[in-house]
Amino acid sequence: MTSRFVRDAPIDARAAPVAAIAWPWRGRRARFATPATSALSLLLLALCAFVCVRFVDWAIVRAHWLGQSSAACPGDDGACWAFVIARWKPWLVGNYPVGQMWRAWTCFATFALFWIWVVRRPPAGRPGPVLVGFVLLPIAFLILLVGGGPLPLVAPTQIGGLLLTLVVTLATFATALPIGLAIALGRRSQWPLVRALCAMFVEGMRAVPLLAVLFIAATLLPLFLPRGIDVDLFTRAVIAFALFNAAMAAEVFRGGLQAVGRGQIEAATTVGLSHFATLRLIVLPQAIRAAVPALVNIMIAVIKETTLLSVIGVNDLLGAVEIGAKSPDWVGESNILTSGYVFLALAYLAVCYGLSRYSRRLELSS
Amino acid sequence: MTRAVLRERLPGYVVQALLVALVAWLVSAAVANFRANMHALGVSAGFGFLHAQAGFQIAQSLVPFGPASPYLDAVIAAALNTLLVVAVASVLATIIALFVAFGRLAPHPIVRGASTLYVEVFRNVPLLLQILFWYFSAIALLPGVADSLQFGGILLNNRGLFVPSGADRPHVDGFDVAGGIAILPELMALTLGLAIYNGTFLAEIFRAGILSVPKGQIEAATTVGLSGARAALLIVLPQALRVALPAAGGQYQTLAKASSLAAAIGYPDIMQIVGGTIASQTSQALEAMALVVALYAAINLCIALVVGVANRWLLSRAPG
Repeated sequence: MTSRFVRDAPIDARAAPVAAIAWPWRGRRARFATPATSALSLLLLALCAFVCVRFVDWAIVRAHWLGQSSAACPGDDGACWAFVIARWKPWLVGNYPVGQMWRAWTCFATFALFWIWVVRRPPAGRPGPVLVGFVLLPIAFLILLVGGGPLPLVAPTQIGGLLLTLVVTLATFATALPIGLAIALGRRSQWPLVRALCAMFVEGMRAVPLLAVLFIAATLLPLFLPRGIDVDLFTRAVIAFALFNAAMAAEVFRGGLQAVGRGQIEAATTVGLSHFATLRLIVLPQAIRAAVPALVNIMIAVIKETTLLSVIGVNDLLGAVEIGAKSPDWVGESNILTSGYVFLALAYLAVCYGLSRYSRRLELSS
Repeated sequence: MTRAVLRERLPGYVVQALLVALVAWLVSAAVANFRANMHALGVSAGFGFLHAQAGFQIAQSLVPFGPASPYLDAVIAAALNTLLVVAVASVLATIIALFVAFGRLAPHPIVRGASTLYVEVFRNVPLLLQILFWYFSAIALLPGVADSLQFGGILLNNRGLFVPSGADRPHVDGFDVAGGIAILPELMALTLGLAIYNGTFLAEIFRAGILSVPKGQIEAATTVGLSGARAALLIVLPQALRVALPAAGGQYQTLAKASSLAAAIGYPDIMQIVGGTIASQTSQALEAMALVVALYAAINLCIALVVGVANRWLLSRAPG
């Protein structure tokens, strides 16, 4: 005896898909579907509201905005933005002489214009001009800022704050990229000694912390130079940064070079191109384009690494904040230093998050 | 070797010979300058200083150490401190990363948003700034010894976290805390900073691993009756870890190297004691920095070996 099932009425209609629900009720499905989810949503919303209210209370409602010394920020209840506003000059340019500030402003404006030009370029464009710009900019900035010749001379140690962070980041990027490319090409060389030296350099740099390299540059490097030759701390720090990040860039370029298929090189040999012509015309354009998103990630890492300069005594943005909090005008409550840190965190967050979005845009388009 | 082959290989030989000569000349010039400078400073060379008396005290030491102990004991104490901070921060970072990785893929929009916010905020603020914030702003805000916070037998104040050890319970004694095990505020700040910062990168690595598990696995798990947390733990996580482990191993090595930032807040680890105190006290910067480099390279190598063993074990359990 077989049993059959025959439906005699239509089944119930399903609920409308999410996109067909009007927006006031759309979030309800995800956030308040079950009692457990609703409880979680309410708890999280309450937590979020509590944290936001406390932060706005500290940062805006009870903050102190104007003042020239720690007397303007009594107590621990509100942020001390007076500290940030009063110290804007040391944080922006360090000890740069006031009469020569136009050189600092020129550098900032030039970099802003350059960056706007870079960001507005189509992502699939040639990376060549941008990289050449990145190499030329720090040279131009250093010549302008340090001077000599018709411009009054300003010692590099007087550059500090955001200006120093900018110059060190650009200088690191400008030196690490060519050196890194050379090392990456050297690792693919047919000569075993060159390959070994390049591999040893990269693996050696990757095994030690950057702070150790900076300590070595600060304390050991003068001992290896002949008596009489004196390289100042700023230059030594930039050399340490450049060599360390050259190893990182070498790894990125190695990945980019490996992304170029071997068939390309074989076809180039068939057509009759020499080794260097193959590199210049076939391999490098594709390799560099493949490596660009990772290079932007290296730039983000370099911006974050410049904070380590404050540990060895170079007056970068973080160092300027700490010096400010210890200066006689502002020494006092820990709230003042905290306000400085929060301001710095927001600044670094804005810059690095923006760069990471740019990197993602480059990655998605390639 | 025929003459044609020799002619083809000659540029290679010449270039490599010149390279060797250049490197040898640079090294010998550097060594000669170094010896001249050290001679002028009157500083001896070699690792003999390791047997001399240290003459300083270390705030936290897992082995007995005092001012009369030799420098070698200081190096060992510093290395153990580094291993302690790396181990605790790694475990904490992994736990945070697992929660945040699954949180970023959760269906609940607020959980997803909060996880994404955590990753973006704490990834883009420099690690040194985070550690300094935890040390100067958060821990300095803890109450003084007299008003210590108490949780059971545990005391928390701006001098540190004091945990009872056995029958020895910490109690306020004048201006200090006596008894129990003291966890320095420097250690707390460093561990928190390292765990939160590296937790973001590990979360992204684990998320990539989770996304690499085919969706059919989760659907099959739901069919069989496993869903939600049980499916995540039993089905997704082992396969995700197989993909994520090599990259996570690299991140643990980065964490070990980043622990050198202890020198910025004075936690007595390798960089602070060997690279800072010992190098400045004995003036033998080369030997001290060589020790620092060797110790960090050794720690990285150990992490790489452990991760390699774990990787092979995970792969051996794969079916087929």
